[in-house]
Amino acid sequence: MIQRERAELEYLCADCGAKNHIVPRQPIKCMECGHRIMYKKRTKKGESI
Amino acid sequence: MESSKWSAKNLSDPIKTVEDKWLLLPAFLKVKGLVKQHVDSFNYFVDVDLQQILRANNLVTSDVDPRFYIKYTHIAVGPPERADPDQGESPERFSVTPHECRLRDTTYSGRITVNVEYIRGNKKIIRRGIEIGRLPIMLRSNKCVLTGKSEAELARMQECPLDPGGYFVVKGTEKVILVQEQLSKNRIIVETDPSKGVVMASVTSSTHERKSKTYVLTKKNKIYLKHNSVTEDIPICIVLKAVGVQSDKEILQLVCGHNEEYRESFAANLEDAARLGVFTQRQALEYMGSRVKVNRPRPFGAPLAGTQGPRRPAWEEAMEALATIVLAHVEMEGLDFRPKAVYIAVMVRRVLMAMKDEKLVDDRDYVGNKRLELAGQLLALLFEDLFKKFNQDLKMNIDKVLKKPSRTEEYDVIKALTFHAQSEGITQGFIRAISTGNWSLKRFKMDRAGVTHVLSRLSFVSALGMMTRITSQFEKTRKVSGPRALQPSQWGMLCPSDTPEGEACGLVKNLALMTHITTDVEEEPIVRVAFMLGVEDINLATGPEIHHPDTFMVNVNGSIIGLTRQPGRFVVALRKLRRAGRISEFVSVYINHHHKTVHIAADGGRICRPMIIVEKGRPRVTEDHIKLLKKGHVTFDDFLRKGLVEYLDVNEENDSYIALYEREILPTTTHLEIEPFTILGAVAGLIPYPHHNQSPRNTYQCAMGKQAIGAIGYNQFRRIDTLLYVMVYPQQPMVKTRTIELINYDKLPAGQNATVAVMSYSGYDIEDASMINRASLDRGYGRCQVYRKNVTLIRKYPNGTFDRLADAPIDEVTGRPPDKYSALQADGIAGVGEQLRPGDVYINKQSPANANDNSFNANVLDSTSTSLVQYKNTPMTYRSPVGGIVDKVMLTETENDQTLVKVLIRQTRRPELGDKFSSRHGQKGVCGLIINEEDMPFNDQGIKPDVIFNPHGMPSRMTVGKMIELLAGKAGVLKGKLQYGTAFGGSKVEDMSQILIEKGFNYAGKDYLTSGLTGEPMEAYVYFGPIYYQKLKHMVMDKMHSRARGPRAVLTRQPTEGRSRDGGLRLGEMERDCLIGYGATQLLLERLMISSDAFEINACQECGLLGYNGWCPLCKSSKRVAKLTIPYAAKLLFQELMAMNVVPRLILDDA
Repeated sequence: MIQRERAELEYLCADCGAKNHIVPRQPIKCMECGHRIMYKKRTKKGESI
Repeated sequence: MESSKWSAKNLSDPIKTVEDKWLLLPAFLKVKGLVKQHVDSFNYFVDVDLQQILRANNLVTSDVDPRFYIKYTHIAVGPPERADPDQGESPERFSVTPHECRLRDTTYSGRITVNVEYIRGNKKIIRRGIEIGRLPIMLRSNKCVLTGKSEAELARMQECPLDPGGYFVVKGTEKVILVQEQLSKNRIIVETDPSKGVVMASVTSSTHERKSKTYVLTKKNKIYLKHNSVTEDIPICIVLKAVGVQSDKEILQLVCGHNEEYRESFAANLEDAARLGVFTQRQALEYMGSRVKVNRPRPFGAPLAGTQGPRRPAWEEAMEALATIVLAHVEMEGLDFRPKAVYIAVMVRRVLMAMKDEKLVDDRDYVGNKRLELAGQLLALLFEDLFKKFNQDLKMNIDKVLKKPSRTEEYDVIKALTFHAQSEGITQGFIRAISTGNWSLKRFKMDRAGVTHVLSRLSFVSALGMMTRITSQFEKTRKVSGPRALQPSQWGMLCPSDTPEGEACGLVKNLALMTHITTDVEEEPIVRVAFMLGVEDINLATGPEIHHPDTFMVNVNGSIIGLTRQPGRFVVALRKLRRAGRISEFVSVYINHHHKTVHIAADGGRICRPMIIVEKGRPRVTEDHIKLLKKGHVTFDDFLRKGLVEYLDVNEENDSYIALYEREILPTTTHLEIEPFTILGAVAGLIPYPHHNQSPRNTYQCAMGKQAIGAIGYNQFRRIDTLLYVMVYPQQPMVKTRTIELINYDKLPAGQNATVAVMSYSGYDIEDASMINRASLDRGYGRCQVYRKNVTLIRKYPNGTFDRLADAPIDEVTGRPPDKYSALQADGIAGVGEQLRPGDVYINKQSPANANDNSFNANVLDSTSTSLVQYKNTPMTYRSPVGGIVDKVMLTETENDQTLVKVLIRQTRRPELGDKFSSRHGQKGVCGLIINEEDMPFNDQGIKPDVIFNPHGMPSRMTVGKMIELLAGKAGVLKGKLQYGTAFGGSKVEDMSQILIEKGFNYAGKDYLTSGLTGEPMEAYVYFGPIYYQKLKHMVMDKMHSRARGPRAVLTRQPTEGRSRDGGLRLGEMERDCLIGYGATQLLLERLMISSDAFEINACQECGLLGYNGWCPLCKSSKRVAKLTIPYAAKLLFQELMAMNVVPRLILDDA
């Protein structure tokens, strides 16, 4: 598996659903609404099957 | 329907009864609800009590500067807000929902703000809205964001509309302050101790300032007063003289009136006082004063030596004690002791009465003598304590600053105030108390543990059941059965079925469906009303008047206010005023004919319930009212306002004549029950036909209903709970009850309607095991999901280092990450939807090796150069015998800026051998065998059962309700309608049989079955139909455990204990006794030593001590050293004994 860049992963804001990036040691905060809860997106693995 | 007959009615026609009067119940629940008592109590605390506490402690002065003061003028609690507001300027940036608090592990709290007035320099300054701390907000209270929101709005806030509220969210966990049961305060309780011949009247006085207990008791037939503040018991006549009743005649009249019997037995006390030389008030006070315990606090700034300050004369001490400590709740004006004199006289009279007639003692277990303490009261006590502490600290700080001779600027106390608020004494005080459940308030000598509990979210009912729970303050170890027994007076107030088995049986109770717990009602207006209704002031009356056969004493909240000669008329008038809404509906009034008293109660914590008023033999609620209610034109409050319905507390209930059914109304009847099934609580209300079951079975079901897996709320998949069980296809029961509909169990059910054949099958069904159809399992019967939360903090350490999430490491041989990292994604956390096998890593966290090293280190402080920091792997791995799926990964920030990662892992489980199931009748059993569908018996329509239930479970358990449930369920299925099994009502068996006949079935519910194994007809008809089955949370997968070899404890080298540590199975004392009895020595040796902690030692036969390597270091020889095997624990014991200076010597012998 190719090592992907960390910044590539997207997270969804729990409040408004906007796509966000999380930088380590930076506060977790939605760019759109300022909400502080993020969810990981569902994995793409196995989607082709 | 019957409107045509309306006009053509005959005189002889039966009077129309009120159909559907049970509809008042949903109307009641709409305004009051099951958890309304919690919410009401909290609202009362925030809106009323908080102000009162502030008013009582509103001034902080300085000992240094007499001109300085700071005065609190107002207090308010704001809506719930985030402690760390989001950026942005919208006013909603602070607003927080409970769900966000659950997810972020924060506290759902609002700001407590005060308005103050203080002196700065020479000016009076007024400031508003100063924050002094944060108060956790009860969900659905009037400060909560959820109150008054529509279902859609609640959904937007990720909240379940059916969630009852009434709890707090503290540090992310839901906490309930359970209702506490106590003996009522400020009331006289008379008790006897027959073995000692002691009669005792006691009062626990409780005011805002003080709590004390006063006794009037007999010793050798003489009466004394006992109190904590006096060193010895004081003869009662001396006390009465001390409170200003000087002449013996007056004492006698005040206590006994004209009753010759009482006078005779009281006379000895008068002689007693004379013998002690006490005749005047002054003498009495001197006598008492020398026995009063004085502990006055040292005045501030006084020297340490001679701490007492100027000592007052004894008589003054006595007066002070009598005025403020003894019977503190009896209010006095100045030094007019008359009210106390009367109160003491009444206590003495009650003692005399109990001496003459032992039936006149009070029952501690009588529900009318109890008060329930709710969240609001407990929080009020806590706040008072915290606020006093806050003010004390503030004062110290002010004094410290003002003491300085010269200041650069004028002292502004606001800075000190805000500084104190930032130290979070009040905030943390609340959080600590609620999250640990320890209420320890030194001022009230209160030290209670276990006040709060985590809200059980196993199922919707378990959460609801928790909100109605009442715990008792009695010790569990006491052997008396009184407090545990069912009390007749709890009818309709407390559920007779819902109590745990075992230790807490009867001590933990539950509220019935229609109960309400009162909050305090202002007392003064009621006293004024009483006087207006012709009550004469008690202070103007003398003994003979008080005890005149026709006069009744009037009490308000336990304190005597006056006399009346027409108690009946007085009570009726007061009740009329209450029904007219002139005084609060929660004020109760009743007559006690034994004591010749009228009691008016307006205090909080009384249990009460609504009832239909009956006047002139007719219920005031009529068919028309119900019609209006059905149309939604009126609410329950309208019924109250119109005086059709009223609340009765236990004491007033006892003074009423209540008809259970309308047909039982007699001319004397005063009230009519709304609905008999409301005597049961919310949990017992789930049982269909409970009135046909043996009583303990209903109790068992109450315990099991809380363990059933089902739906827990509409937001169940949004929640991240430590452990969450959810049923995959829950169904509402075929046989419902009214209660089920009222508490919305049909919307959040916990169980499925299984088709049950009551027959024996295969022999794997002994001991309550049941057979389950394999095809049913394939179709999803009993399938459930288990969600487990896993949390970790990605921490930043004080020394500048931090945790990090790492990629999967690359295996050097294969060039790929090892398999156990396969679920990880680039951010070091497993992807959502990834499968986890046992041992897989789902958070690849790494922590710095020197995280706790705070010594100065330049390399570490420079946080950008991570190269020099050594990291160790601290991954989270999946531990479970079966695989799971990552359901949710949540990242967030806590209040102190640490990253919080929550990973929710899901398992889907299908029932297996040994999983526990139960019907709703306390009939639990495990799955004994899963049978292929083709082997199942079938009826002539080809229907096969989901479950086969062994009929041996029926005769001894006598759960007839279960049989009727099957019948009603079968009729319901055939007719396509849900049936009702409401307690004391519900669908009738006869009607059910009729439906069965109509649908071509046997009226008794029995079916002809063909064996699936042989194809032959069964030799008997089989009772066959649907029964609602619950899957309980106990599943074999979580319990199954075995071990051959495995880990051992470090200290003893014995196998570890418990499944979670892969422990061994213990051969305990009783098993050992069996082996000893049998004489199986070699087996014993093997089990207890060889398979456990065998250890080879070298023992010296010369000195008896332990050596090593065949050498005895004490004797310096290896001559008589012998090798032998003993348990390591024994060797450990020898060494521990030696450490205690005890020499164990081994004397060896040939075996």
